[in-house]
Amino acid sequence: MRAAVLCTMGEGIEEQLGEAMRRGYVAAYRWLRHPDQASDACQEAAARVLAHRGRFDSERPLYPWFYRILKNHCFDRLKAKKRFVGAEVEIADPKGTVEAEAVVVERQLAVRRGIEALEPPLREIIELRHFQEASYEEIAMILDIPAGTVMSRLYRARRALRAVLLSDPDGSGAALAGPRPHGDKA
Amino acid sequence: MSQPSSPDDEHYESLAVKAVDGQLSAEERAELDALLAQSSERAAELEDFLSIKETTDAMTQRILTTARIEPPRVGRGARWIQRSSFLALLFGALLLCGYGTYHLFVDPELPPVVKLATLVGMSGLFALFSYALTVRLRATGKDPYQEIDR
Repeated sequence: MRAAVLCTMGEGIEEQLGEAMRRGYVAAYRWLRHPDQASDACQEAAARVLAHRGRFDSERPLYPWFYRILKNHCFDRLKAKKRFVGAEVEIADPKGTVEAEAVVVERQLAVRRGIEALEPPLREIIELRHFQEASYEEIAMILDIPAGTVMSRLYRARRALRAVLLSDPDGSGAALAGPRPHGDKA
Repeated sequence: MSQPSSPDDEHYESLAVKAVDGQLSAEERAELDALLAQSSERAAELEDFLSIKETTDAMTQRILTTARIEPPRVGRGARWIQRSSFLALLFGALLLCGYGTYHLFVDPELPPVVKLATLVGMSGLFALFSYALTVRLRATGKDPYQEIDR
């Protein structure tokens, strides 16, 4: 179930901000590992965007700007609290869950470990594309790289992640299990 | 990190990325099918990419179930209060500093060293304020997307 996007502030930047907050929440959650802190961080970033709304360029997507502010805010929080990023609350312990659910959880844990093992540039592009639904254009703006480089870096990141998962001693490639017909719908 | 070895590889990479992201056109779909028919290795790779995407999608949904996203609490009224309060505070502080400094200098009973220390201190405060103002003014008008906001 997706969280409802609240767009009650009017037209324009506010509507885009509602969507940016929903996407940014996932990023904030993955950094801060706490729903309340992630919500607060999104609120803070949105308030800063609105405080500087005069600088918003309506010809360009809002999300890269929002993401940059949100990221800095979350990292400041992490530095202030000296919290360990890997402290996980998002995924349940597979022990005690039913078998089918345990398989799913194991797979998610393996993917999480795999992503954390990637080099930072590859990890960030995976986070942006897979968890925040950032478009190729937005990724290019956020990472400050040419649009053409986005595709190749994304491919390299996915390939590196696959290699990590195949060699994962705990997961034993479990995250890659399940043959399916290839298609353009993920 | 390895680089693509040929234009064909680059083309395949682009198609594979689009396939995982659900952005293939019908023509590209046919091209990719043809490439995959020639290489079981690539077909297995793409299946794994799709499996990873499926897992990360499920993780994203799981996170979003915890979301309580509300519009920002700071409205236009609150911003106006913040700005006017800041300006009032700044103006009051400058007025007090100026008044205090003037009275210090006209007081004949104060030793010169106190007057000198006050002058140096006030100069430092004024320099810091001017620097902060200059930095702020320079930032105005720059590309906000390149600026690191804190």
